[in-house]
Amino acid sequence: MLRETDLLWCFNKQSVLDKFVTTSDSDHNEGFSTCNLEISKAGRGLFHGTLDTRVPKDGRIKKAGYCSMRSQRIRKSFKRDATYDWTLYNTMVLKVRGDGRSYLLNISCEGYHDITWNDIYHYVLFTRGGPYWQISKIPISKFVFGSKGRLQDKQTRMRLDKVTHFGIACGDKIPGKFNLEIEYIGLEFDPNHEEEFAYEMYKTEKYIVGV
Amino acid sequence: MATKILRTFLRSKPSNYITKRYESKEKSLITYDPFWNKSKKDKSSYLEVIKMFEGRDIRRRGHVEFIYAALKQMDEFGVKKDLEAYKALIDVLPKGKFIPTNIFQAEFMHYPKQQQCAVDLLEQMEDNGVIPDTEMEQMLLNIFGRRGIPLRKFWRMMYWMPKFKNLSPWLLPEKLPDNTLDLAKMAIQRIMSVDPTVKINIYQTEEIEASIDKTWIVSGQSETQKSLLAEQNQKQPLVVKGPFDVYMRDQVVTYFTLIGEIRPEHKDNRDIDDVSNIDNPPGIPGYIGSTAIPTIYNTVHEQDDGTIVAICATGTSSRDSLLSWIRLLEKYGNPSLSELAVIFTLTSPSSSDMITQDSQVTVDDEKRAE
Repeated sequence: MLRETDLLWCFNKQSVLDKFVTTSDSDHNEGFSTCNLEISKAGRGLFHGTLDTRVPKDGRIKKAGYCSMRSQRIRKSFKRDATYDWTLYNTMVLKVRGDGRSYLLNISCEGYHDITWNDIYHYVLFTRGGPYWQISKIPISKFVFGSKGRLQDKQTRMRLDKVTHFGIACGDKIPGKFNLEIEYIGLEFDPNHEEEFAYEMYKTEKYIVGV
Repeated sequence: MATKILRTFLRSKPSNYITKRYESKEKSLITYDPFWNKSKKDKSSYLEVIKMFEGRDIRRRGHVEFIYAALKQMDEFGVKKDLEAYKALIDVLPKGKFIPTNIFQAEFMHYPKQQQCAVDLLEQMEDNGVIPDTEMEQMLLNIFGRRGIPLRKFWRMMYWMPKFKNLSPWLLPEKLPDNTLDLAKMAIQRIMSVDPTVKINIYQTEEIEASIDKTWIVSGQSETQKSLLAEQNQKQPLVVKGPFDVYMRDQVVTYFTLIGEIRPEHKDNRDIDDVSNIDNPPGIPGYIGSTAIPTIYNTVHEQDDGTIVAICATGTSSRDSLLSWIRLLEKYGNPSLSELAVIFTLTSPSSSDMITQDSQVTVDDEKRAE
């Protein structure tokens, strides 16, 4: 229905939280950040932890400091891989209560070739901070295409019928504690939003872009 | 003849001359860091070191190493957000020499170390949120030519960085105030931006005679919240919750909330498809019929974990300053507070100061407290 939010995840019980996996750089010996996803005092999902930008002295790592939560792969029967089909929607809706930091929303889509496995669409989730809830509506057309965290020169639209994972990451280079309370993550169809892709896709000069 | 010369040459030196010379000296490798011995670490001395390096040698030997060393020192000299410093560093690279002259040079990364160095410099700019300008483009063009990899990096930055620069709906000024009071005021204003009728008041605890901590309090309360507080059930206590943190970019402000009773959420269970009993259509206030302004069932302040009646940040974040805050609220427009019980859930006395990243601010604040 128009203007109605369909919930993907409503973080009100542990079983929903179990569908997410948290990762931080300390899990891979690449830093010292830690994070956790728990039920908060208000009965919602609380993604919290400590961001640490110290770099381990192994001579290999240049930068450190990230924490992320990501949904587990959706499956069909007999553990076959499935994908979300979000073609009916054009807006992402999140009801969150943050701490003033900015977070990163990540959507990964399925690709056939192995070089596409690290392709993720990103957008920023700004939080107000404070005890009040905020509802952020983000048009999916605004998500930026990146590979291994590097924004790509040749931007493409997201394959909304091939969405495999959704995640939220904290890595704003500010060391310290972070708290992001999430009530729900949903999708909406906004008929007034006609934009298909927010970034320029015109032809550019040869051998300068996308090489 | 030759053997004779050789013999005299060998004999003329003491046998253990070479070994002795090395024994007496320091064995560790000493690197010369031009930034290290600067007594004053600021922008002018940073630019001075760069100028000195440029004037030392016409060939500018070791400029890549110099730029890497200079990039590491930027934080210490306080120039990591300064475009001029980055431009001065790029200016160290020689003009014209690194421009490829044929397609093979252009394709196979002409002068790779120097190009990588310039890319790393641009990346540091990007990480610190410094947007380059067209003058920098011209400098890079003069150094690496149009096919250079630093130019690609530059054009990418110029495409993306302005797109994200002013994206935040709660935009902060480029430079945050050094004063903790101003910062706390900004933070409370940002939190309370949910209610446009909010009033931010700055109180001094000196007004309350019984207060021990003499400090400031930034308190945010709207008219709606005042009426919500006035309607608070006398048997239910109010709760002061905190400390909570809010990030203003890299600065942290600690705030406290005054929470009232939980009000039930208004549920409209009417079936909107039911046409058996339709109400009269509402009139236009003042023109047709007698209508009241539609009642607001739930304000933003009424959340299911309590009604937020007021928010504050204090200079010391101590229990005593919060007590003064409650008394000040009572004095300024909330007389019902005198009959209500207030519970403090401060688990432990908070640190004597607001938690700030900048040590200078902390010192400044301590002086204020004195």
